[in-house]
Amino acid sequence: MRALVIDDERLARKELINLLSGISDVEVVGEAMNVDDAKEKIAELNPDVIFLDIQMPEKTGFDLLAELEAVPKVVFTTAYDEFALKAFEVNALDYLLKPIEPERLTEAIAKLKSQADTGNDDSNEKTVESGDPKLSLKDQVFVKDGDKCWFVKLENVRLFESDGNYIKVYFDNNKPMIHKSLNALDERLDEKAFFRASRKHIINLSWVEGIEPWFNGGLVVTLKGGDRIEVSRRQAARFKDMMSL
Amino acid sequence: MSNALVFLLALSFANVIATILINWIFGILRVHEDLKPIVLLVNMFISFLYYTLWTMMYFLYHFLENYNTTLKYQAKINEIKLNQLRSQLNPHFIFNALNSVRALVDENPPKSKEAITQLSNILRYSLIMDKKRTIDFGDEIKIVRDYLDLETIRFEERLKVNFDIEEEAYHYKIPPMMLQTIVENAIKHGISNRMKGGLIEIKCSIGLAGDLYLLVKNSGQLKGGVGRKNDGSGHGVSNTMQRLRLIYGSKASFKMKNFDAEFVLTEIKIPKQSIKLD
Repeated sequence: MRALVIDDERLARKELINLLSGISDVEVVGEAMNVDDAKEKIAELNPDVIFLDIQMPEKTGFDLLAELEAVPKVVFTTAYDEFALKAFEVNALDYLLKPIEPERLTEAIAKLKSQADTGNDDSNEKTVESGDPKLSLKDQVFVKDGDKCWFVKLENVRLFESDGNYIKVYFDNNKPMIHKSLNALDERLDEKAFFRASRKHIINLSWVEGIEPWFNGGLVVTLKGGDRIEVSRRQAARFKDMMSL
Repeated sequence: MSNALVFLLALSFANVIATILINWIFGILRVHEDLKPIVLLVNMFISFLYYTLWTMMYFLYHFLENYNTTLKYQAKINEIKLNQLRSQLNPHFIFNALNSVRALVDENPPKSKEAITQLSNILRYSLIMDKKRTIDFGDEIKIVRDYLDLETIRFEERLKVNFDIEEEAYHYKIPPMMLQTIVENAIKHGISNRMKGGLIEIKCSIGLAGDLYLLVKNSGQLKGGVGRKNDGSGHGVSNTMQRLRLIYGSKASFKMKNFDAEFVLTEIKIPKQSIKLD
C-alpha cells in the first residue's frame, strides 16, 4: 500500500513515517506539509491511502478532501479534536490520535487492507489531473455541509438536485449541499451510471424503480425510497434510448 | 399595583362594616352619628391608612432581608463564577507536545528530556495554580516561557519568540493562566493557522500610574469583531474580560486590536497593588 503523510509539523510527519516504516505492507511514497502541497502530491503520486492531519494552517484536512474530486482512502491523525471527529456521523472511517499507538496503527492498516480486498475497487485507478476519468459508482466523494461531513460512495447517492449555486446530494436520510454547478458535476459523472433528467436533476440509474409517462411526452421516474423525478421531454427520448438498449 | 390598592380598599371597607357590626352587637352603636357618611368615610380612610402602612412595612422588611441575602451570596457567586471562568490548558497542546517529544527522543535525546520536564512543569502549574485567585508574576512568566519552548519544538522555524520584561513586574501578582491563555491564543492565530508562521512578542512593563501592562503581540490580523463564537477564541477573550472584572472591578482592562498591518496586539492592564488581594 502506497501512503502519503500530510501534516504541517515536521516532527509529527517524522514520527508517523517512523512508525509506518515498521509495517511491511506500507510504503511511504511522500509527505506534504499543507493542503496545496498535498493536492499536488496526490495528483503526482496517486497514493492508495493518505494519513491526514486535520488542523493545518489556512486550510484544514477537511478542506483538502472537499477540494479533491475522488478521494483516496483516508486515515485522519489528530491530537485532540472531539469536535472535528464528531462531524463524521455516518461513515466508519478511521482516525488515529497523536501520539499514535503503534498497535492502533497496525490495526488501522489491517482494516484498510481488508477493505481493499473485499471492495476490489482498485481496478479503476483514479487520478485527478491526468486523463480526467469519470467518477464511477465505486468512487467515494467527500461532502461537507456546515459542521457535518460524510464520505459517500456514489452508488449510495440516488439524486443530485440543483438549488441556486448549490447542489443537494441525496443519500440515506441526508441531503447536504455542495457548492458546485450541476453542469460541472454532470460532466464529471459516468454517463452510464448517472442520467441528467432535467435542468434541475441528475438521477442514479441504479436507483430507478418505476417509469411512467407524463404530460407532453415527458416521463416521471420513481426512485427507490419514493422520490419522484420528472424527466423533461427532450431528455425523455434519450432516456428511452438508453434504457431500451 | 392596582390590585393591591383594590385589595386595601376592600379590606378598609370590611373593617368599617365590622366595626359597625361589633358596635351593634354590643349595643353601643350610635345610629345617628356613626352612620353619617362623613364618619363612615373618615373611618374608612383611617383604616385604609393603617393597612397601607402595614403592607409597606411588610414589603420593606422583606425587601431589606432579600437585599442582605443577595449581598451575602454575591461574593459566593463571584467565587463560583471565577472558578468556572478559570482557563484550562488546551488539550490539543498537550497531545501535540507529547507527539513532538516522541519524535524528538530519537533525534535529540537531551532536548527531549528537557521538554518532558517543561511539560510536567506546565501540567503541575495548571493543576495547582487553578485554585488561587492571583499568583506571583514570576511563576506565570516561567510557565509561559516553558510553554513557548515546547511550541518552538513543535513549530520549529515557524515560531519566533521575543521577551521584554521589566524587573519591577516581578513584584506584581496576576491571575493565574491569564497571560498563558493570551499567548496560547496568539500561537493559534499567529502561528499555527499561518503557513509561514510568525513572531510572538511579550512585553511586561509598569505604566506611569503604577499599573502593570501585559502586552502580547503576534503576527496576523483580526478579522471582523473580537469575540466571534465560531473559533473558540471568542470564548477565551470573554472569559478573560469577566475574570478581570470579577477580580479587579473596573480598575483592570483588556484590549485587543490590530497593531499595524502585520501584527495583533493584546493588552491587559493589572491595577497597581498597594493592598493584598488574597
